[in-house]
Amino acid sequence: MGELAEMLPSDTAAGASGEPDGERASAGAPPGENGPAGEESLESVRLGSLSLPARSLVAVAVGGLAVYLCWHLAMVFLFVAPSNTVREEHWGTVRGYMYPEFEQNWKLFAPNPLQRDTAVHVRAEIREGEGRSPVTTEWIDLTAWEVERIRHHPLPSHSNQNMLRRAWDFYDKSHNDEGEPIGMRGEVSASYLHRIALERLSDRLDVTTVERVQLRISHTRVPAPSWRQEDFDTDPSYQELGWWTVTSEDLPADARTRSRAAADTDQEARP
Amino acid sequence: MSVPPPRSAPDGGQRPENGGQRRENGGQRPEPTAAVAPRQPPGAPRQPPTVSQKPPAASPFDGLSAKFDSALLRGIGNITRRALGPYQTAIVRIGFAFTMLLYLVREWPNRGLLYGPDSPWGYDLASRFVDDTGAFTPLLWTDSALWFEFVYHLAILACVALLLGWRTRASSMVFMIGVLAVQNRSVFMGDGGDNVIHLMAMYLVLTRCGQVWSLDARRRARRAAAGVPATHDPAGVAIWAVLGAALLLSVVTGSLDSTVWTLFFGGMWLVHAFWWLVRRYAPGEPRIVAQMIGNLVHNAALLVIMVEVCVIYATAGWYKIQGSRWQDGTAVYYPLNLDYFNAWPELSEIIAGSGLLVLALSYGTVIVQVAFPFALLNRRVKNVLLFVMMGEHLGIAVLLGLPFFSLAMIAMDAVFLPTVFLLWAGDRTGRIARRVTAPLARLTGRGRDERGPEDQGGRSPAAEAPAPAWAERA
Repeated sequence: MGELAEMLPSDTAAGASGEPDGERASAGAPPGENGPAGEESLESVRLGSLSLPARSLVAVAVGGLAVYLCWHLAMVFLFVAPSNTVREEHWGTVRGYMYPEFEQNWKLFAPNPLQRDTAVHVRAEIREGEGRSPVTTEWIDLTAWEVERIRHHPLPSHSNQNMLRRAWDFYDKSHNDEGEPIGMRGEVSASYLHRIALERLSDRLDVTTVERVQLRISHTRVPAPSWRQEDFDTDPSYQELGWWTVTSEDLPADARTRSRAAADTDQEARP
Repeated sequence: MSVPPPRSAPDGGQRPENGGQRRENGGQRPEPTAAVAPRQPPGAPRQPPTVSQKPPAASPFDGLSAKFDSALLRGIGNITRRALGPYQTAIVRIGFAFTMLLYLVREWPNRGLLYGPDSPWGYDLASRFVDDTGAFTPLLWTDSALWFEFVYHLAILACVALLLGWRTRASSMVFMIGVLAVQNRSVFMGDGGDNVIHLMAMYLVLTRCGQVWSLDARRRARRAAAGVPATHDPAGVAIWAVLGAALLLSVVTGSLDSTVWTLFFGGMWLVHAFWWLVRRYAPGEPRIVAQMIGNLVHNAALLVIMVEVCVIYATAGWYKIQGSRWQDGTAVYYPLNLDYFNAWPELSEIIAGSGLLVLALSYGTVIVQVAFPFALLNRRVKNVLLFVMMGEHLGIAVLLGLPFFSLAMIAMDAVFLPTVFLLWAGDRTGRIARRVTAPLARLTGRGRDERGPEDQGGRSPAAEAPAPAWAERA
């Protein structure tokens, strides 16, 4: 009886107190695809009254969709699940289905949040004019520049939040412990990271004079919370990458045109 | 004994047998269909109470298969007759369109650096990378700066169209193309929020997300009132003709070289052409079947969206449980102190300065995320958790400086908002909008037309929950 009592109010509401059918079709059905005039409403259609081919078609659609739904959800589940028996055995299938468009990663700040700041520093070797010996700049902290732009901004830009940060992640993941690039990803990640550095440098100096750049990554642990007795080293540690010889592809687009124009005038000057 | 069901459900009187279903609307008459055994009246095969002895305890399995059959039929009736959760899908549509629009407009000054010719992730690098992954992005069809500007601004327009629900079927498709175009052009520019938008943009294409709160709904209502047949729609035909021509062109020129995507776009185009033809020339049973299949696809996509939300929270929560920092209750302290996520140091300091607060937030986050999928079993708990979660995302938006991520997450959570709340909110929004636009309308002399699309949705309380099933109750 409890069940009955429970359903009473909603049933009453559902019947909208015996509204006439026509009115119900216009008010009760969502105004939309179903048409407020009930023109396209299926509310009054009974499955049983459809012809056999129609019913079969609906049945096939229900079955087919159900199967595909289960497949899709199983793939999503296996993709995000930790390594397990089924996943290991069928990883090829899962990966083939999920990459590239269904790729997802929801380990948000998990299992542990990042506990160290990673900053990218750059220094450049500049040659100003033919015959002069190259000059090396000081280390410039690129990440600090990005962080400055994020701070106190209600809508920070992805170009400050993600570009350099994720480029380093990408570089780090596609290089082995010896710092050698792994395959195509290693190569493009190296170009990408150095191009970002040059892009950011172009605000400070004329990048067309830069012959080589060098990056170093500083890692600094976030100090333990004051209320905890944990003691660890919070001094930055540095990881230097090799010198990178700058080609014209590495320069930002506007600098590239400028350097090309400069080269052209050079040519004209020296026939 | 029972209130007459809304329509001529012949078995209405026996409902209690089938558990407290709310509103088994409409008579999905359990006439034997091809799939179901003809064993209907579920209450019937009970022991007739003729003998006045103490009746033997009824087996809980009595009539189970009949119950199952009728439940199955009712279920199939629910998922074929209607596109469930019209308000939920609409709010998800609006949420994601708004998030993406805000994002594209905010990044407008940086667009060239992020996705265009000025990107350090140059055309050469991106092409090499995408050749390998096979991701779909029209932005790598050519390195022309003009093409980039065209695609970027088309994506903005698609966001606006989808937000307003203008030609939702077409605009959701262009929206998806826009999202994939920019995100796959520069994969390493995104974060979790972009990932959600990416997935939802694809799922939304398959939902009827313009049933309510849309210009489409308003147009449909007006045309129906004026007696214009739905198929008399030159603008719609023109839009699909243009999209078809664009598709043809991109295939013929070899720009679109992925088989899967060609089949998908071609298939979707044909489906819409077919739908138009069916309505025009075969308005009887073929139209009903086509519409049922459309509803099925919508409902399946809606279910996928819901499961995806659960997957996201479950993954985020369960992996956190394994982390020592989430266990010792200091986890929240760290992101608040990382340079990249320390957008408002003054605020972060207040929170990170209190060990108790950090502990509560850390444990609370894990508990809420892990609990969420299970909370769906109980409407009230679900709603409480939903608002806690949305609140947390608002906090993340400010404290960690991740507004777009948070907006995307909130848009995603919105799929679980209760219909009553959505109707109320829609009604309020409509009223405020009308009050704001009323002077303008009087000026332009178009007062009568100023009934916003909200009107359509909020008009009658009976519009609540056309469907009783899981999506509605959620």
